Amino acid sequence: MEEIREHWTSRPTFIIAAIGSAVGLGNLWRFPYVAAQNGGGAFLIPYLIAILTTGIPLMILEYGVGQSMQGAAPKAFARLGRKFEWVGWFALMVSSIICIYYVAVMAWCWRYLWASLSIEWGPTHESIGEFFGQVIARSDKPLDVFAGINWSVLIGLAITWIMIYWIICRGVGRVGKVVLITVPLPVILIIVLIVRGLTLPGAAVGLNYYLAPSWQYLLKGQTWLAAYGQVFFSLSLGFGILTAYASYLPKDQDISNSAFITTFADSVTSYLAGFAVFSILGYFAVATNQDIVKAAGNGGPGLVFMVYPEAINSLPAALGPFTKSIFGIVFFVMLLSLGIDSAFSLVEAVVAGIHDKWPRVNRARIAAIICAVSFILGIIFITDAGLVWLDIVDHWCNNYGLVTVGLLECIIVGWLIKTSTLMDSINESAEIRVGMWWLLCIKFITPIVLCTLLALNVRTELMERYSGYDLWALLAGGWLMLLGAAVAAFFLTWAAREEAAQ
Amino acid sequence: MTTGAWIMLFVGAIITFGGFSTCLLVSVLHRKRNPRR
Repeated sequence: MEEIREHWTSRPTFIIAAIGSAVGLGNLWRFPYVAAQNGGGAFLIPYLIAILTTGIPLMILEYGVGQSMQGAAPKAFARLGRKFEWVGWFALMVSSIICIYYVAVMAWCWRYLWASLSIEWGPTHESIGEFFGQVIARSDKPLDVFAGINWSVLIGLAITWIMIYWIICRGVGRVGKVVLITVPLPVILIIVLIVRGLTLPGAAVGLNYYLAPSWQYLLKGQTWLAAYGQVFFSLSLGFGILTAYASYLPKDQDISNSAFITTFADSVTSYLAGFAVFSILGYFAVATNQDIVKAAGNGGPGLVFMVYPEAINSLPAALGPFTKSIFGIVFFVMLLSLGIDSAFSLVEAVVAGIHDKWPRVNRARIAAIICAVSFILGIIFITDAGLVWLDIVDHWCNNYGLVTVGLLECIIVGWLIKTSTLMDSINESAEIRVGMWWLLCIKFITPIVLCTLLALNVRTELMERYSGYDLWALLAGGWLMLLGAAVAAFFLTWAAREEAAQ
Repeated sequence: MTTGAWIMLFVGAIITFGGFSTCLLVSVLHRKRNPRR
């Protein structure tokens, strides 16, 4: 007899949890930069079109599969067709790998939060670079993974994994309570940073860089691909998280409007984060007499761990070191609260996937094993060469792993199963009914966009070595890692079938 | 800030906040019409 499935306490809790999963570090360090570098305010137009033609349709698909099949990714895809189970497991394998390095980034945030108390990174550009080298990027040689571990960051890694275990070990009941704090908290802190940023002289310079439209960018294919890439990577698509979360939703609850709400909440956060980032960078550029383009850098970890500490240092001297510390604490607490719900949603997707297939094994035990193994594997990313490996693994997981999962989902739902059955199930309780628009996006637009992204990435890979890293490191951390995930997914598919046969 | 930047500031707010609040409104209205859910 099948176990009665646990449910969210309410639909708003499910939506808040999904928003928490979608909103993460990328909203802060990716969106504002992608926008600024691809036409500024003009970027909002391709971004909106990408939301409507890929983000929301694919999210409805993932929610729909999870809710109608009442299972996390492997079980849900197995119910669509036995041969599709592998796709669910592959999504979870990629999620597991992403989670391992995502938590390492959060461990760095813990270390910088500690450093904020005494502005440990020092007063100058050089001292900040030196501190960054000591804590994060000690070496650019992949082999230095064996050279040493950063013990101070290890503490942050352990704290984060313990938190994740505590949140997910009891199922979505506790997740539902935690997200009521971790989802609004970063938004409040972003607003605090915006208020502080906008009251600094020079904020307008940064906002102008962020928002002034360059319409000629709309004619460039690269801008449109950047918009579709941003929407795809920002919404937790292809991870199996949304499928797992929706599987805890009763069948009589709407999912189509939930997808709209989740997506627009993610956009609101990204849009606001741009103000928090560029108002302060505008001040920093003016205070240090630099061009805003040079002062802003390229986003990513560089923004968080290099540019922002420098911007904090450049705050008016009259504010004193205490205020600077407070500013640093607010910023890094915001990052941690942004990251934690994305991190535990990744682990939850994996735990739910395994528990669905091995229901006799205690859920808390599955969570404990996954957290412990991931913690040990995560040590790779806090060694001397941690940043190098993180960069390689992140590039392959995002650009090949997730895109492949998204593409396979569209092919399965759009072409290989009876789509009308799933569509009817979605529409049964929909607040916004899906029809031709959704079918068109799932069958044609999203697969074409994802195929183009894949093809362009492969072409770039063949033309030049990614970031100039050693070929062996790219093969090991990129292609072999993905191959390993694919093989592990095959093994798990086989093992789950053996279990079911018993 | 340039005029273009100001205009896009409002356009961005309308797209993101407008989209978000419209969907919430749809949900509320739908619930009023279908109180059983």
